[in-house]
Amino acid sequence: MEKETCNFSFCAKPEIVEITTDMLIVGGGMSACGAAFEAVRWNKANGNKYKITLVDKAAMDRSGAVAMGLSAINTYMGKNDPAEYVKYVRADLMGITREDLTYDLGRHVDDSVHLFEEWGLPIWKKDEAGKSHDGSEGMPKLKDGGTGGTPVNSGKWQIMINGESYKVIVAEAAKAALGLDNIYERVFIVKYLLDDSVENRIAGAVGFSVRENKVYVFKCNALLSGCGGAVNVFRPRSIGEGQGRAWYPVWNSGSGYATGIQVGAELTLMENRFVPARFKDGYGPVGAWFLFFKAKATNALGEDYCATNLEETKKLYSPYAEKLGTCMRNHMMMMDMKAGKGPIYIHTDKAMAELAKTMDKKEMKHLEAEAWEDFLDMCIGQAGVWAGANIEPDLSPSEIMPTEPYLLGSHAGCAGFWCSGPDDLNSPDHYKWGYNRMSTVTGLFMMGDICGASGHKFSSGSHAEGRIAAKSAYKFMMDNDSFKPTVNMNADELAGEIYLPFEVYEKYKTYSTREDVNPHYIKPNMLQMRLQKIADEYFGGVSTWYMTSKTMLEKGLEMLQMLKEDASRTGAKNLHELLRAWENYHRIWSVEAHAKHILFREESRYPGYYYRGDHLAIDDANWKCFVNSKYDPKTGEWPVFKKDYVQMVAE
Amino acid sequence: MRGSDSIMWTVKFRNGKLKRFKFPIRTTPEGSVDPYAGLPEADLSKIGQPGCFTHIGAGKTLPKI
Repeated sequence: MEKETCNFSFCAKPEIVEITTDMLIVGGGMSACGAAFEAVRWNKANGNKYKITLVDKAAMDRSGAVAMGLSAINTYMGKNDPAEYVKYVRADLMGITREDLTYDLGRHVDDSVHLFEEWGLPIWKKDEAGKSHDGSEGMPKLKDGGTGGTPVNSGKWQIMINGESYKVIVAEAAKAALGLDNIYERVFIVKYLLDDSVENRIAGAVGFSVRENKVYVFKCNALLSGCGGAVNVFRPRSIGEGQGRAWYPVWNSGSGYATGIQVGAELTLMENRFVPARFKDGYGPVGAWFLFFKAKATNALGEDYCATNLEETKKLYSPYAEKLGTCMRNHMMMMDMKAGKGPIYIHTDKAMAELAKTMDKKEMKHLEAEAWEDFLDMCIGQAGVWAGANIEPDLSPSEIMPTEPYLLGSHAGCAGFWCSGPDDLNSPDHYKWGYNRMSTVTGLFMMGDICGASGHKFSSGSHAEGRIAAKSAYKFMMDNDSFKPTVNMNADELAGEIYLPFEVYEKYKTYSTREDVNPHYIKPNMLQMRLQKIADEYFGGVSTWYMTSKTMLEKGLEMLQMLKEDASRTGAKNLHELLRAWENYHRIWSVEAHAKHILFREESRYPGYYYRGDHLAIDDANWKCFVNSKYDPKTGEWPVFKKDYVQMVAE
Repeated sequence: MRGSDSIMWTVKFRNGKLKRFKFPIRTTPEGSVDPYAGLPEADLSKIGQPGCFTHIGAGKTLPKI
């Protein structure tokens, strides 16, 4: 197919803004906010020697996965040993995790939670009688501990909050620390730049304003990447009027993965995915219901599918089945769904009736409010589903169902980049070759969803990881003080590459009378649907009950190459579509990495998330290891290989 | 309706039933966050040690395995 280029013959040339900085933070979510907060403090101690800049696709107040709010903080150690946290994460991620990164996170995370409370986040407290109180009731703070300063734990690691404004509060602190002059909002970074004089060295990033015709070229010494996982890479269950509703934020479009992959950063466990079982159609969270309200889930016949299907499941997946990790529970739920024993119900009504036995009327009223707050704080759409279907959680159960797959590394998934860990733990040498949280590209640090093999960070852990990465990157800058980024590609060429979808659209828009059907271009929404269809049907989406195989993966990867060709002819008629076009390029690269890794790992490590039909069992003898890969930006080769897993914390 | 310290919700069901809820959203006035209030300065000579500036400044030694 003829290659299109943009020399601005058909579309207007944007203004080009060049910014030279020292530390560039890409993203505006929890990890980026943590990074800004930590880096600025070290910089003050260094006489504000370096320039620290943050660039965010959205507006920080509501960007990232915590945008809408949360009803719980899922990673808080309290009195628990971080080594226990490692065991929990390892068990949920089917035996393979970077225990150094996980332990390191565990020993840092509480400090971030204490800061959130200091800044104004209401955290529920338990009094001496064991009664819970809203976070606004002036109980002693977590950091002070003692009487009253006890959090309301829903699980061992999870504490309840009034978190509608969680992100607003955390962003406020980060913005105040960094100063508004150093923040670029509504600028979408689409690719990272390697240095032209030093091999395998980050030098900057380019992107564009999603509000005005400007292209940005940033040059930097260290880059902290925190731009989230990949959503809407698989065909979603939500269609038509529900389209756009997803469990994870739809703006997490794989940018974190694609930008790093394309400069040659090594990936790890990209075969992992997360398929959350959630309230059907509204994607309402189940954590508080299972953990705090003690609700049980059964099939439509009232049977506990995790009990009735356990023996059968153990045949293929022992000893993992017995640990009842998230994916194993999915697996057993789906056994019943396939047997026609659905719908699967979560019995909110029975749970609340049980709790009511020890409560007076006022306490019951409060409990009902807490049940609704769980959704209204973070997933308002689910409250809409309840109201629209006349479901009152204290009176009737709700359906739950596994969703489409998501790629991420901070929630209950671990797909991301292979990063160096801390150097003071009992980790093997191949875990600590450089600066903490630095990828295999010099100067490029990863945090949050894209720092791999270390899931279950959640919101607080992502903030803490941003801080860890920023401190480490700050030291990197001090140690590489004389570095001057060299970028030989001229700004006009970069702008032409970014604005190509405009050029293509303007050039060919008269070739048909309907703008979304054209022989010369494809619009971003059509491209996205084609990608989702390929991923769904070949790589184990919902339509095949998450089943794939070598032959299916190979065919799908072939289709993906053609999709990549067509993607080079995406047509965008405005800045919003340009944003969509680039988001889709990032999605394609993310899902390609995902498929390559699943193809390489000849076992089904995460049953309930995906299955290799040709290798249905877990094969610890051959596959209790990391699967890593590394795209070569010079040759286009993308080898996949094994890396040793080392257990650091005993069972 | 989102106010300065709380948010109020009205939920209307298909059958017309109404429920109202009010939840706290923050305990500090909007815009008042002083991110480093009461926190130690970073000590540049200790940047190679484990821990964030707050851990190091408070003299906390992080646990190890």
